[in-house]
Amino acid sequence: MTVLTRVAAVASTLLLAACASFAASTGSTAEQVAADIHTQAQTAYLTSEAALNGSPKSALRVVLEESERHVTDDLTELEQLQGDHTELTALAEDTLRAVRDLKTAVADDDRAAIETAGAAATAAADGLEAWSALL
Amino acid sequence: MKRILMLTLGVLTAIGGFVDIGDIVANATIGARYGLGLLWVLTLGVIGICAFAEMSGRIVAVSGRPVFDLIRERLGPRVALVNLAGSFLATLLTLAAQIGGVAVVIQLASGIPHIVWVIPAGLALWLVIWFVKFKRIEQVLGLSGLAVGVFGAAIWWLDPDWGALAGQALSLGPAPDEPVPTYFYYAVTLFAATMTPYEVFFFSSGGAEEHWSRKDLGIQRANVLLGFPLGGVLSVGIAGAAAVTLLPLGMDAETLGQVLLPAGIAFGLAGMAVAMFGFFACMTGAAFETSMSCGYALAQFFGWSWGKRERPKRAARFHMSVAVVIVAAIAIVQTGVDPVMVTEVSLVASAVALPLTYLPILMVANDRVYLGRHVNGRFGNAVGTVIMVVVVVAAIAAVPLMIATGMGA
Repeated sequence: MTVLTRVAAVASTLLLAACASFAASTGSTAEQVAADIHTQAQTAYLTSEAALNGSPKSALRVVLEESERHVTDDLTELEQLQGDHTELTALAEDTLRAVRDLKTAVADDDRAAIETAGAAATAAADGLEAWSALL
Repeated sequence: MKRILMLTLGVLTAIGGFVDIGDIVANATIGARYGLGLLWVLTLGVIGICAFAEMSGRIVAVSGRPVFDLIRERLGPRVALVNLAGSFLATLLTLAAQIGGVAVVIQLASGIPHIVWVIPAGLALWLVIWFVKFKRIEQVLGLSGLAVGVFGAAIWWLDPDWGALAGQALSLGPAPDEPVPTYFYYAVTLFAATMTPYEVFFFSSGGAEEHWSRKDLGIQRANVLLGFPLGGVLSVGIAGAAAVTLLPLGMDAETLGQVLLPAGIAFGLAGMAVAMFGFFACMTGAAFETSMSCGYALAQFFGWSWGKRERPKRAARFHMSVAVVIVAAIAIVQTGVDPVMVTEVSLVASAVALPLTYLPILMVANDRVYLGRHVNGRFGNAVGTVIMVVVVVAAIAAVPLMIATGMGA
């Protein structure tokens, strides 16, 4: 076996191992969607904290619009997935509601509503973590 | 004061190289996922870029000619063409990402969609390059970019668990439940982000523009040893802020808005405003650096007159090249592609192109025909050789890791 062949064999083995790990690292489509929704729920929570600390509305609105777009896309993807995803869909809708309520609250400078929406986002994130733990 | 301002080339190069939109989001993503667990990669990258930028600066100061020019002469047009092709594409994509990034920062400040700001941002960049002196751009953008240090201040203000942060920084591998290939994908992209080819081309060509000579060897070394570690520190600040606020929540950082949140949580309006100002300066600096690097590389390969200080009449093709790459970059961003995605792709492309850039520099830095007694010493060659091995490994691993991990999913 030439040196080049040996190197190619090692490289191919490593690549195959990496691809096998890929399946483990990325998870199923539902898990990936859940991870994204979780990130948006936590983003909404952190945005509420930043809003209560006086951060500029324009930046927070852009962040929340981006989150809203992500969760909307995630809901569309869930609808197209086979199998029963009722629980995950409900959590996604909770997250979307929290994001939209927070967007309104930030625009209105309503501190009480910001706190409520932040708490709702945290609750959605907790629900998603519990859902993931059951897998 | 004058001596401090002489160091701004290194600061600007580092700002543009370490804190462009790709680095910003990559550092925040890594901080949110691994905390400071990839600090060893950043340290290795800073050592690497310092070593090779010092070689590039020395080459310019002693020979009076920039690196790419000598690569073409020493190694022949074929090698230089491969070098040019590899680094030019990566640099053009990076330029597009920076212009998009500047537009996103303006969107965050104004609320108006970023796509509206792409053409004005590109046009403003060209006008700055056309009308503002090199030294002034260097000083203003280099020093303004230091505002990104607000993230470092946010870490301290948020009163984190310093022991946990230290534990993350001292770890040399992923957590047991983290996939190893994904960890190394981020390691490769972070390393590529610290050693992007355009940094050394810009630094050496900038040194030529400033007419460095042998008596400036001290200044060029100071530029390197101050500027690049400073860029590394700013990067650590961004990663650390994400480690303190995003990691405990188990969330990802994929957008510039999410990266800003720690500054807002710590300091409210002032923190976010300073962070956005810093981002604006850094990305504008990176856009300046990448557009000029494209022009420098083309002009030096084809043997055209070049230099920002040269009148357009004397260096028409160089100035036209810079304008054309800016237009090309605007066109890429105007397609609506996500600037962050563009920069992630450019980082992988940079990783693959790294050996093409750095091996020739190592060879020229050891050539007595050009450098006389100023060639690399044993220590320089030892560091350079170790970094070259890492560079080659990163180049080979980049694309398989990207495919295998779904770009770090």
